[in-house]
Amino acid sequence: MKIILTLFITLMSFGAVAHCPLYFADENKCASLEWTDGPVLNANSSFRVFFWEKGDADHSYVSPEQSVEMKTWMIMANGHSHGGPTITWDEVENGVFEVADAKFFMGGMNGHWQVKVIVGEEEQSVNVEF
Amino acid sequence: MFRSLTPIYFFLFLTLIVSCGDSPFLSNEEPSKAISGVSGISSYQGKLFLKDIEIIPRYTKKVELYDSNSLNFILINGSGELVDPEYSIKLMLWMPDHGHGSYPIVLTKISKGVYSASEIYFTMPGKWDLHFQLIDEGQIVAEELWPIAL
Repeated sequence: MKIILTLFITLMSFGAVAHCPLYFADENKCASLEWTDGPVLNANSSFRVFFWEKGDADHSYVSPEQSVEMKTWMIMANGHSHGGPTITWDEVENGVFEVADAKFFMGGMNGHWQVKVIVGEEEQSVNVEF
Repeated sequence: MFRSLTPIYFFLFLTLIVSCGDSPFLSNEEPSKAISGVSGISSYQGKLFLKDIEIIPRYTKKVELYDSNSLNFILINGSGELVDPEYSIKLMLWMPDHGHGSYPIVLTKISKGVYSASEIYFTMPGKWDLHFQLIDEGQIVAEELWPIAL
């Protein structure tokens, strides 16, 4: 029983340290995206993106050294994909980027939206679920 | 007496001429259907009508892909007077070749017969139709398409 408990705690600890939803290898940083309003269709949605050093269990937010960009992206069922309305962001504190004007719509499209987070030349995506 | 007043009349006349300009929606010297400042965009030369009301649209600035675009338009009757239609107006973007629309357009009435449409997003290059619709209880009673190529 003690062995199982130790193993469980160890695995959970590794899990916490390894928590890295979006990994940017160039800077060895992780990021996560959290919705603060939405996501919704046909109205503004808001979210924050948090960056931290990979392996930092405390997730102390750090600003990436390279430029950070974000955009929405539609992947259509017919294989085509395209961008969405331009979004803007502010780094509201070190390593925390805020977007308040993400606009999603379907308008008869068959597909799904993503948010793309780009650090330097490296790009990671988050699927948007409404 | 009159001789002494002549400079004043002249000044007033000059002030009148200088201060009178066209309406901001009508001052563009280009044809009313032109989309100014955009190279490579085709301009529809025909007239746009919703029932018997003519629509004269103008983009407020250069049209940009992915960015928020806006346009102003006026509605005039056969006598050239500004009019409001008896039904509500709706604008909608549609990409006929791909069979989908875009983000909902926000329509604001500025004054009688004068409207502003904002949040017009062209999310890819190609042929788009801007639909001007008259809506009565959820049903389209009249519709006009303004073809736009980006």
